[in-house]
Amino acid sequence: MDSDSEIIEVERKRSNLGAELSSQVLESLPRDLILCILSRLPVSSFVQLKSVCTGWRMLTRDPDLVNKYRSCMDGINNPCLIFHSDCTVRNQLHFVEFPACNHESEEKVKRFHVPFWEAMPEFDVLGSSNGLLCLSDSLQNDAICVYNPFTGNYQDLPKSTQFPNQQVVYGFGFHPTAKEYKVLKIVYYMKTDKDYLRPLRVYVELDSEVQIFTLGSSTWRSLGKVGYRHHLYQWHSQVLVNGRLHWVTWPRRYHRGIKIISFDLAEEQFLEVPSTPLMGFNYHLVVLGECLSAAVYFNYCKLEIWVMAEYGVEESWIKKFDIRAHMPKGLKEDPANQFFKNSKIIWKGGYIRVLCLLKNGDILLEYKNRALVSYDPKSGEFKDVIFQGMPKWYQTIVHVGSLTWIETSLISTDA
Amino acid sequence: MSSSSSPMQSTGRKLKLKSKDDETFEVEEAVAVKSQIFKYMVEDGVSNGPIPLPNVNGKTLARVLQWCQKHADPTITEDELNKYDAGFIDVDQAVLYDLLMAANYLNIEELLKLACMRVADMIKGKSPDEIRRTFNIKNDFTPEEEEEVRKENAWALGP
Repeated sequence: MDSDSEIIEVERKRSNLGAELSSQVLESLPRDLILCILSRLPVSSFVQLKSVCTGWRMLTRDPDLVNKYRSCMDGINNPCLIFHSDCTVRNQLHFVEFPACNHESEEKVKRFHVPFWEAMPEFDVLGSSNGLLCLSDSLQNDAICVYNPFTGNYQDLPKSTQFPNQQVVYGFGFHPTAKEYKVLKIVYYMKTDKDYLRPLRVYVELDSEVQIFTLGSSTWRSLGKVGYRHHLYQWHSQVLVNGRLHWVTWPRRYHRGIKIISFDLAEEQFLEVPSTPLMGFNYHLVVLGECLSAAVYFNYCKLEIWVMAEYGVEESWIKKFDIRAHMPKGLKEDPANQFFKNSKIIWKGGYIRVLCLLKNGDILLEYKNRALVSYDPKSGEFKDVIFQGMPKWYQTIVHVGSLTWIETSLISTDA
Repeated sequence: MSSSSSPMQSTGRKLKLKSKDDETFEVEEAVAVKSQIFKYMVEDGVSNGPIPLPNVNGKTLARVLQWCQKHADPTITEDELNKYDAGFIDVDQAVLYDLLMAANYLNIEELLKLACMRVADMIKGKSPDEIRRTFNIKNDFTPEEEEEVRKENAWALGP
């Protein structure tokens, strides 16, 4: 009996020693090591560190660490998926951290507690860039905010100039060298009412005005006209490559095909991206593996993906993926409920959307806003991607989680 | 997998290492070069007398060298290696801490990744309370801070 209690005593002393050491484990490690460890955490775990103790809380607020964490994440984990849904009275944002492997994993979808839900019950997600989301109020014109769902911190943007009969195309992105987030408004409007009196056959050219807001500044700035007569087409997500945002244009009468227009967030200039190999095709842009890519739609729901292997080099457009038609398991009849009939997400959605490239080389696809499927280009196989707690229908946003804190600046309240 | 991809011919050359508590170890060059520190020493030809390692104790050095030996073995399969790693890193926190520091000091990338991943796995998916219990951390928030923390924790709700 004595030897037993002795053993227990020794064990207790040893584990206490271990406890003493471990209570300083993370804080006393060299910074590089701390970063090495923390950058392997999915962002939802990184967030929990804030609540452990004052030492760890300070760690998560260290801007150097937060910035480096973000850049490490890109290399290690799959991005987060955020689901914007309008299946209920107010819009919701859910998220899931895509596991590195195994599609039928135990990952559960969680819902963000959106702090401004009362002020903005219905919103559009304009884009996600470098850890932040840009949202616009669906009900109120010109209410835009930038939000970090993982910290709950957000900033309303100041009001910008409004125009008569305006149609707005938005841009949102982070420039990696300038290290600034910018929100872009490309406003198309009709100057005077008398344009309405022109015969309908005559093509009416719209005036345009580009406004830009740098996060951290206090007012919007005007950059004048777009400079292209082609009207840009607003897509569900931002296509940011090389510090430039990209859009395709609406087809113009008497002009063959659509163009690709880019906007450099640092230089604040528009530039056309050569796309002759895609002439005549109907496509949407997407970023795959950091390359500008085009998802080309064909009849019978076939899809081809062309990738611009070397940015700006026209000859480098290559057809990289050929995706045959597929009907995912989850798509039976349309839900027979009122919210579905009125859903603006469904109304704006399409049949298939290319989301991103996964770490294992699979392509993630969204079908009819109701099913996620991964496609393995090597085997040609489709796999349903199912997470517990997915909303019934949604728009998927590919997001890189981070704890970036939006510095609230002095916002001018003038209209 | 390994950066030293040349065929593993035993040159017979051995390195002598001395831990901080004066334990000496002899290890084959091909095994030692898993550490970038030793790799540069071997390349620069400075590997005569026993190399002092004032930052690593004998027990940890023995473990690290064992790991290097296993990973320098050309006959071992990837599956076997993964199994070995899983067992190797399943140690208590004090040992893990020593391994982390040693792998960092000796610049052994693969071992460092393994140890970091292990600590990350100990944190992943846990609530702040569970994290505190795992690492025996004292909750030192003031009541005001505790309230702030509680509010912040409402950032995400279950399904």
